[in-house]
Amino acid sequence: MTAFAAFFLSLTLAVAGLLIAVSVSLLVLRAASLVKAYAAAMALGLATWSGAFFALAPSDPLEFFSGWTLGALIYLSFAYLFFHFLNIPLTSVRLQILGRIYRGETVDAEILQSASEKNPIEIRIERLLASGQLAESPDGRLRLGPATPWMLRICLCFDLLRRVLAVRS
Amino acid sequence: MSPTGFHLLTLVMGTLTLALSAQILVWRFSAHSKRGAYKLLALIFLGGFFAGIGIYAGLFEATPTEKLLGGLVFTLAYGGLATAYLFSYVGVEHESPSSKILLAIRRRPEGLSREELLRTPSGEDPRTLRLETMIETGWLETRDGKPVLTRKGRLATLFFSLPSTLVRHCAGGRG
Repeated sequence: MTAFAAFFLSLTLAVAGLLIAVSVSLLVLRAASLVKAYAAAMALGLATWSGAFFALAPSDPLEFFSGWTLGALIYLSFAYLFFHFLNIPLTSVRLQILGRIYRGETVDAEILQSASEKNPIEIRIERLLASGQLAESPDGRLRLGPATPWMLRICLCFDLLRRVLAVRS
Repeated sequence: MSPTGFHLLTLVMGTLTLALSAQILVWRFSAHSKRGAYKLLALIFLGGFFAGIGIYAGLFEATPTEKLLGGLVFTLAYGGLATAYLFSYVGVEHESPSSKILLAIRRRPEGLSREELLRTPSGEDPRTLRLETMIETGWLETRDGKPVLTRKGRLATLFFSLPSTLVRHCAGGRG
């Protein structure tokens, strides 16, 4: 197989894998949460695509690596974008407010401003405790929790980028 | 020289690195508003895309079909990664409450009380900022003291209602 055929094959397989993964994630949504359904379907899609690529891939190691990496980058970036496309409308308070105004449910500015009675920080503390990212000791102090700190790692990456770019949030 | 997967991978990563370096330089040495930042960011990454396509078209010799398909792979890889970065940049600029909490606790190994957390991570209550921000970004306007959707806000609402309808439908109304 030529090098050109290899990277085109990689592209086609990645797009096909992504379409299958998106369909599977929507089909299993009835039985699981959005994040779990989506993560499982994306992992399945990536494994299926990689298997097909390994079976058909070029023998040259450099072209094999390049073809697989290009396909994986395309697959993962579009999977990430599709996840945000599904997730943002469900979690963004701003989009929920816009939706309420669009449906004519709420038009009063004061009601919108007090839509949530609890401070958002309090709500997040409860969520982080429930997911095990935080733990509360008997003296009432909050510390990092026992769960795998995947969220802390993401926060640290964003924090690093914020320092590199000198962004003030 | 004919394009190979390795050439394309190098070109994609090279142009993305250049675009990111340009952003770091611009962000460090120029002052810009939050809204202006997104336009500037889009311009930088679009510039990187056209530079990459220009290099690809000028450097490689291939049949028209090969050039077209190679260009398609470059567009998908660069476009996908650059758009994913732009989505992540929103998280860099608008630090989420969860991130503020976790980073504040990480800096204090002895832990923080709820009261301390409510005082330290953010200055202003985000609830009061939401309407102002949406009016500032042109999604809402006020008529007779009431917020109404602008054309831009209506389009955004319709666009983003699509996935939530899809998720609710697939989850059997539970989404």
